[in-house]
Amino acid sequence: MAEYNELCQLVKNGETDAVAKAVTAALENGNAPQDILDNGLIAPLEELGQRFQDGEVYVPELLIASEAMKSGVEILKPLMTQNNVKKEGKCLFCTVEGDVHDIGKNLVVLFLESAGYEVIDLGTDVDEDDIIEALEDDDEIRVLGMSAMLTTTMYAMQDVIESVEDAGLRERVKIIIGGAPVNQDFADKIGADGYSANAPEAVALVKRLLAE
Amino acid sequence: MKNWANEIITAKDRRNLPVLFFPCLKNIGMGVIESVQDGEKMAEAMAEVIREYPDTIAAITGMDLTVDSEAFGATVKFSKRQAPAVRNAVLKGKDDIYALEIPDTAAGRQEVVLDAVRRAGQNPIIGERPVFGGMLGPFSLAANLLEMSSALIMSRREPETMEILLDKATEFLINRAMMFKKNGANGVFIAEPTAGLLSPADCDRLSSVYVRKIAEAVQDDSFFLILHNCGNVANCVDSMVSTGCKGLHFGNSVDMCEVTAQIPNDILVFGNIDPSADFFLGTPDTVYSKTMALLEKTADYPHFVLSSGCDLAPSVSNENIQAYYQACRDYNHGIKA
Repeated sequence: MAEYNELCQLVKNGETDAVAKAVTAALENGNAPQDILDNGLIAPLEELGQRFQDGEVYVPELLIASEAMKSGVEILKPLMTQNNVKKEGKCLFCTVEGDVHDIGKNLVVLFLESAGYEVIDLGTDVDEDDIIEALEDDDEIRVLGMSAMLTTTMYAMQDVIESVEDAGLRERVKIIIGGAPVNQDFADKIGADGYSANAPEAVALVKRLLAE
Repeated sequence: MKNWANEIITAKDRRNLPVLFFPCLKNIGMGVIESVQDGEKMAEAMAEVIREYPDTIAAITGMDLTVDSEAFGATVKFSKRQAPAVRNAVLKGKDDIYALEIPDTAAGRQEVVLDAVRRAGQNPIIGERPVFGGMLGPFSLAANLLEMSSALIMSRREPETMEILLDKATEFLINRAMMFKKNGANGVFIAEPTAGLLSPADCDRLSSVYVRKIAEAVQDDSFFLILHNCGNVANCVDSMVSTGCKGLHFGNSVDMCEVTAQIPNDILVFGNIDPSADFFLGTPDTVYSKTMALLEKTADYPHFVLSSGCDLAPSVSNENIQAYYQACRDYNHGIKA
């Protein structure tokens, strides 16, 4: 939308302070928080995500843009009504044991939160016991998302899925995975419900799985 | 080592050097933890790779990429089933980077790996094969020390500070490579995977410039550097060549023909059977066919060396590894026939 062109450009340029100011100005001009979020903050990140997939931009550009987007989201969050938070779709995310790489996971969490989902982020290097404990502690969690960047740590996902099954939680929780070394074949092989190559796709995947 | 490379390039058959350490541990009942904490055990495991797969043209130390960060003070998580992993960032920001002191060559477990190199050099199973040490590349080390997202953001927002960190990382790595050389290694395998996340310009500015400093400091006719970058780096090949490394190792994100065609014939080019989709997820039949297909399509490149696209996880099956080697043997048999 034309009125958000400047905000979109600021997000794409990673201009964190300027994004916060522009979001505040948009609110003062009477724009609805959801409208600003969708068209001024999420839209430029989705565009960058597509350009990343096409090899036109790289991870640093995505990171500084997501930082800028986050500065705008933080302003809008308190203004979003409780009704917009899909509590029935609460998600738990982490990077698996032995892996501290969280760029992709953080982008997915940011996109899901921006799309209105409630996300518990356990962080990086999370072992299967902590994941099971978190799932058992909160029976509203419907999606478990796991990320790995290393070919030597991706196999921990399989152990977690087995533990989720052993704990009797598998029927309640949909499991999705992502990360550089994994793909749909790997997801199928270890019994995950879905795989996503990027953050916008992950939002669509969660939406689809929760509708099943 | 110049002769080693020349012999590979002029040979009629295709040579083979996967990054294969952890999957062979199970053959000798050795755990991951002991293999990376005891030089004698690491050397024993390196020899096991050669004993089981004698077609392998060199021995490589355990690809434990935490040793460099640990020397700077990072905590390492050791696991029975997985390769060691760095648990925490050492640096929180600009002030820490300015204050960072370069650790000496005895810090952490560097001596474990040097001990393995010395022992491997004397091991009769490894014999005359070259022995390579393994270490991180400058940008990957910087990203480990600072935490990857922070490093990538700093590279854009505070490039001068990032240069200081890269200078320090590079000085440490030059010292480490020197120690490998002094202890009898014939070269170093430099793992620079994080550079695979960068644009070609950033790859040059944040990685290749510094790798070139390492090459200028330690590489000669007796000491050979292999630079590994497993990202989608088809656009960064010129930059990688500019490092001066005599070997370039690629992951499965690239088309081997596309990159090999860009690389001069006197530089060895290694790659790139997928560690995940092929070695782990595949069957012996699929690994065999993928390997054979790669060998056939790279047939016109004398400087190509068959390899895995990255380090292989401990759980990769022997059957799939055997299929990979068998494909290379059959391919070479076909050439001779």
